[in-house]
Amino acid sequence: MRWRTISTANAVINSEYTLIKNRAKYFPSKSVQDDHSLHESTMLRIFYRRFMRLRPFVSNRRMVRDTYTDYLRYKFKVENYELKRSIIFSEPPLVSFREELWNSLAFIIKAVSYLPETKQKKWGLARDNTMCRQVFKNLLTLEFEKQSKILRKGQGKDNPYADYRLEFNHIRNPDASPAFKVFGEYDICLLYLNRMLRTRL
Amino acid sequence: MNCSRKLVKELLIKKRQGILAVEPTPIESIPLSPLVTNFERWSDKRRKLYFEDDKTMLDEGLQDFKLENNVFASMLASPMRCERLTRQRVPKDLLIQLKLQKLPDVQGAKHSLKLVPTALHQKGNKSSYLLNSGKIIKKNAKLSPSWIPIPALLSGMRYFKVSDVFIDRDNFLEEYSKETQEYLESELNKVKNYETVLRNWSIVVAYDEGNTNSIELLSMGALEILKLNLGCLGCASPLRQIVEFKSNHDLGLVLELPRDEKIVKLLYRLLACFSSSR
Repeated sequence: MRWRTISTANAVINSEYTLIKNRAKYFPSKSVQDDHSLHESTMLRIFYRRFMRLRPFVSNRRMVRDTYTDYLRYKFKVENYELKRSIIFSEPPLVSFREELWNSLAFIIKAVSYLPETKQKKWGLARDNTMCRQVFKNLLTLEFEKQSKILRKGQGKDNPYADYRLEFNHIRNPDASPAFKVFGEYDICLLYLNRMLRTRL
Repeated sequence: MNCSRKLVKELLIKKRQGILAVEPTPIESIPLSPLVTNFERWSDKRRKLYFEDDKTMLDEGLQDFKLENNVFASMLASPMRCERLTRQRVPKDLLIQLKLQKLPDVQGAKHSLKLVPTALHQKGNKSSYLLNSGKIIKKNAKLSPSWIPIPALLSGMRYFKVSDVFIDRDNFLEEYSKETQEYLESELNKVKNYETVLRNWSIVVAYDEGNTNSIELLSMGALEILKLNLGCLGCASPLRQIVEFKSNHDLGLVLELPRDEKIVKLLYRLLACFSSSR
C-alpha cells in the first residue's frame, strides 16, 4: 500500500507520524520566561499545564500516557525532591528552581520531538533527542514498575509507598533488599544525571 | 410557420445558453470536510512535535545536552532487561549479565554446562541478568538455579535440564570480580597518553583509600568531574598499580566518553557491586 503525506493547517501526517507544526502552546510564553517576579505557585501551575499538554505525545498507549500523568502528579504534588537530593549530595542545587523546571520541560520536549536526521547531522542534536527519548521511556517503565510494586503491598509491616515515594529508603540503603537495590541504583543514577543536566526528572 | 419556428428555436437556444452560463463549481471552493482539515486528530499515528532543523530547535531554547558524553545518560538509556531476583525491568547497564558456558566433554561428568557472569555484556545468544550487588547475590545464592536463562531452557535446539547446569555458588562473585578486573586491566593497559585537559563531565579514576566515597561529583569552576574511587575495593585490587602507573593528571587517570565508554561502565558496575558507600 502506498502512503501519501497529508498536510493540514496544524500538522503533517505520514505513514508513521503525526507531526504537529504549531508548538507555541507547549512552551511558556516569552513574558513568563522573563518575568522573575512571578510567584512560585503561579509558575508551577504554568509549567504543570505545559507538561500535561505533552501527554498525547508520550505514547499511543493509554497505559503509558496514564503512567506519565501519575508521574507528573507525584512530582508536582507529593515528592520532596530536596530530601531526595540531600541523600546523595550535601551541596545545595547549582541553579534556581525555575531553571530546573525549564530544563526538565526542555528534556521532555526533546524526547517527544521529531527532527529530521541527515547524514551530516546524524550525531548532532537529533542523536541527543534520541537519547532523551530513551532515558524518558526507561524512566516511565521504571515508574510503572515502582507503582505496581507499591500497589502489590502485602500483609507485612513494610510500607512501599513510604519507602519509595516519601522517605526514599531505597536510596539510603539500597542493599537492604533486591527491590531496594533495583530501584535505588536507578534513582541514584537519575539523581546524578539531574545534577549534571540541572533537571528534576 | 416559419416565424413561430424561429421564435421557438431562439427560445431554446437562449435557454440552453443560460444553462451553459452557469459554470461548474471549482473543486477548491467546495468546503473541505473536517475529516480532512483535522486529519491529525484521528490519524492514529504517533504524535511528535515537528522542528524543521537544528536552528529552529535551538532558537526555541532547546539546548543540546550533549548526552553522548554523559555516562549516567548512557547507562539510563540502555535497553531494559528483566532482573531475575525481582522480576523488574531495569536498564541492562545496571545489571550483571549471565551466560551459559559449555563444559568440556568428560565421560561420567555430572554437568555439561556452567552459568557464568560476563564482565562485558555480549550481544546475541541467550542470557539472563542479575542485580549488581555482591551482598544480595551472596544472600540469595540458594536461588541460583532460577538464574538460568529461560530462553535457553525453553530452546528446542538444545535440550538440557536445570541439573545439567553447574553454578559455582561459593566462587560466583569472586569469579565475576576476577574476570571484570582482568578485562579492565587489559583495557586500561591499552589506554594511551591522551591529552590531559579536563573537560566538563570528564571521568577521573583514582585510588584513594582514605576516601570512603566510591563515586563523587566534583565541581571545579565551571567544570563538573566524575570521580571513581577504586580505593573502596580494597588494597588487594590489581587495578591499583595500573591506575597509578597510567595516571595522567593530579587527580588520577582521566577518561572520556564516548571514547572510553566500556571501561567507565565496567568500573561503575564493579564499584556498585563491591563497595557499600556512595
